[in-house]
Amino acid sequence: MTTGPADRRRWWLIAIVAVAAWSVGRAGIDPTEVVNERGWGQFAKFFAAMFSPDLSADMVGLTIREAGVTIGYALLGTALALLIGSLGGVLLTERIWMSQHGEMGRGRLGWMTAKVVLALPRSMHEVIFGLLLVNILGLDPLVAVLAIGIPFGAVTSKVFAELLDEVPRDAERALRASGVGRVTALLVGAVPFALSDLVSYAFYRFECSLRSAAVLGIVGAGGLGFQLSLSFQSLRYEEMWTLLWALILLSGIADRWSSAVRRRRRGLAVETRVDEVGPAEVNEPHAPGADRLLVMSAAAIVLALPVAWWRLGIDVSNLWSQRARTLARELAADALPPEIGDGGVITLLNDSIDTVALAVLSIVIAFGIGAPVAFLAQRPSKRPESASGVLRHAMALVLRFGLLIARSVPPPVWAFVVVFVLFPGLWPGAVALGLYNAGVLGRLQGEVLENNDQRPALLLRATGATNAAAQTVATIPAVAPRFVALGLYRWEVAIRETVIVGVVGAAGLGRRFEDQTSSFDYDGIVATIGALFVVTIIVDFASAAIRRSLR
Amino acid sequence: MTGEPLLELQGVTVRYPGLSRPALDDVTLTVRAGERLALVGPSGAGKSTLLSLCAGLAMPASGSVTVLGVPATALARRAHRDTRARIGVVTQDFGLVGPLRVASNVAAGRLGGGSWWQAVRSLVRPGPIEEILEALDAVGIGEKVWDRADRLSGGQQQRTAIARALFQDADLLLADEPVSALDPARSDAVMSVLSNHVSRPDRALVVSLHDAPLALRHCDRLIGLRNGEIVFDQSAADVTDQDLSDLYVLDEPGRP
Repeated sequence: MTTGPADRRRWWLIAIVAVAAWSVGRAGIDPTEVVNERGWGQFAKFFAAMFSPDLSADMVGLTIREAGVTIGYALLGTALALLIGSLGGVLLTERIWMSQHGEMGRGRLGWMTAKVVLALPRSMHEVIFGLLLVNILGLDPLVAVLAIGIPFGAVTSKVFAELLDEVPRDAERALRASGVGRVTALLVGAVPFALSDLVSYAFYRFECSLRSAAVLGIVGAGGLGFQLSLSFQSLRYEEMWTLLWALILLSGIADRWSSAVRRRRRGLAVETRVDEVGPAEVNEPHAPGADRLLVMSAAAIVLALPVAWWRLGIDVSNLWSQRARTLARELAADALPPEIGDGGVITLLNDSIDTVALAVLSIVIAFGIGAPVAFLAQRPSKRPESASGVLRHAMALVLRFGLLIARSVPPPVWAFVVVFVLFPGLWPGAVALGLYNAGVLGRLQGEVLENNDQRPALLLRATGATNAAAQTVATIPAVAPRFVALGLYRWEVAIRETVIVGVVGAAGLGRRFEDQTSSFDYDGIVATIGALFVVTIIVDFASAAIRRSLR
Repeated sequence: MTGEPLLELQGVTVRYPGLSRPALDDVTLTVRAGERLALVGPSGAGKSTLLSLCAGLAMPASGSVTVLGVPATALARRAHRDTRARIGVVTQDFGLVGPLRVASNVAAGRLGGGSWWQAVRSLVRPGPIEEILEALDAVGIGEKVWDRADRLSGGQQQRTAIARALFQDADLLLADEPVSALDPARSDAVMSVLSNHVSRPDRALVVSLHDAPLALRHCDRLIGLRNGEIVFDQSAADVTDQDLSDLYVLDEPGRP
């Protein structure tokens, strides 16, 4: 054979395909049982309203006011998440626990502890935090801020740690060998390499917080989400689209802002490398004094925080008020000990497996849409010269806008739309989460492409390869491990998000949670959260193992 | 020197943003088939810039560059893919695809003029494997053929990049410091391989080297570059020690 020894990555690919096939089988493939032919009318009506949002003065005024509330939640929530994430991120890196020689030894215990402690808040969706906190704090704006900040802080920790662990260890090892402490070595030897990804992720988190603030409207936190749920209950699609366009606009602004910050960083990197790299990279426009954007962005955010604090009327002392303490005690008494409820362990297990299948299916859909679109939607590096070039640019623009819409429409809204045409079960939940995650994954993968080293591809083109051939050989193999890693990461997020598509009777723990909240079955909820936690831990370890072998 | 011109630079100037001095300043030179040309000179002299221009990886601010009869400004067009396939490039950063195996990286040398499907196939089954091994053996790393490129040492990566150019069978071979990561004995051997590659009369080699004695041994024409200007351009036999020591003398502070 002329292929050489097969490597482990091939086996993982086969395993992933097998798991995906199993999920499809579990969801069912008989179209008459999946597709509801009679729903297409409502489905079309919803999308038609996209072009005729309600633009009456009342509605627009309401939208602007509520958008302010949503932005406030997102700002404060992100600030809290980044604070938790920077600390947690360092604790979660494998290398911070390693000895100078790269052995973990007893450090493994510390690493595992950090992982488990942060896995608990991460296994819970913002909506779960929202529902629990609203029972203790009432309709306080703190509910939304904490509900975003705590789980997002745990997620941010994990992502920061993973970005740091993907940095080659050489520089850090050299520092450690010369007697530098482990935290300093990490900050000096690894953080600078990952900085553009870290900054871009921080801005991306803000986008997520915006959308999450909208989802939290479901538990009555106010803002765009709450209005969305009111319009959605009365099937007023025109009003829904006014609010959705506002969300799309907000997401889009956060998106553009983050790419502007990212481009600034790349410019700097190029400047310091003029001597060693060929001039190919130097052709990129580089604005002098470009640091200003980052400084101004940071200043704007710092200034906006107290404004949001004051406008929302945040009062931290509410956290330990007499009333909150009493309600917390009552909730604890209601919820403990947890009770598995009807069907016993078998049903709980079955629902847990359904949840895994639902998440796998949604990521298969998201990856199938997101990855090719990320390639086609790349920002062009130079001005188009021909008619076909203009067409390609236009297509890239439309696709980027499509991804933005996909991730700006909250998953419960997607679920609500999808269930017009799909019968309740695994499929509508998977499609709803799949569409939403395609938007998220497509954007994250697009960023990987933008940060990817273009030099090998340029070299192949210089020696006569077509663009398609150069991309296939030089770009796809380079980005594929990170594409898959992002897919695995979204799979973990999707597990948590199964809770919010429970509304449409999507099977699994999400539906169980939905039933239990509507009947105030708190001891049941605790059991469900426990199961979700276990599933998340298992998925977390599986995905870490796969990712390690991809490195 | 009677071969046809493969490379012509006419009054070429290159500037980088933020730098006051041009990287190349009004450079004119012709490389003919059959020549082995070495660019020598201190760091920052403009050697890499000159090679990037010839590879079509950079454009001059003024002046004209013609590569294999095609103006460099037109080289990127689809119509000139076959011309580009005749240009072999070894860059200082090697330009390897880290997660791919050495065999696939070498096979990528022949993507020029090939179809997309060929590119896909080369990922799964790089071929022709005998020729790939031959190119790798020539630079002494045949045993690494199934290793991942990013698991190799710097020197091995550099030799993989050279093997890719050899496998490409290019007519114009442009190599930027191709032995910078190799020990002296290996440097000599690899330079011989590059030199042999252009023993056919329709080929030429342009290589930048720090090491002047190495250049004298393996090339027949030397161009001394300093501060973006050509200081001397003569056959290897005519280069004097004085030429070389003038070229590498350090700038005294306060003197231009």
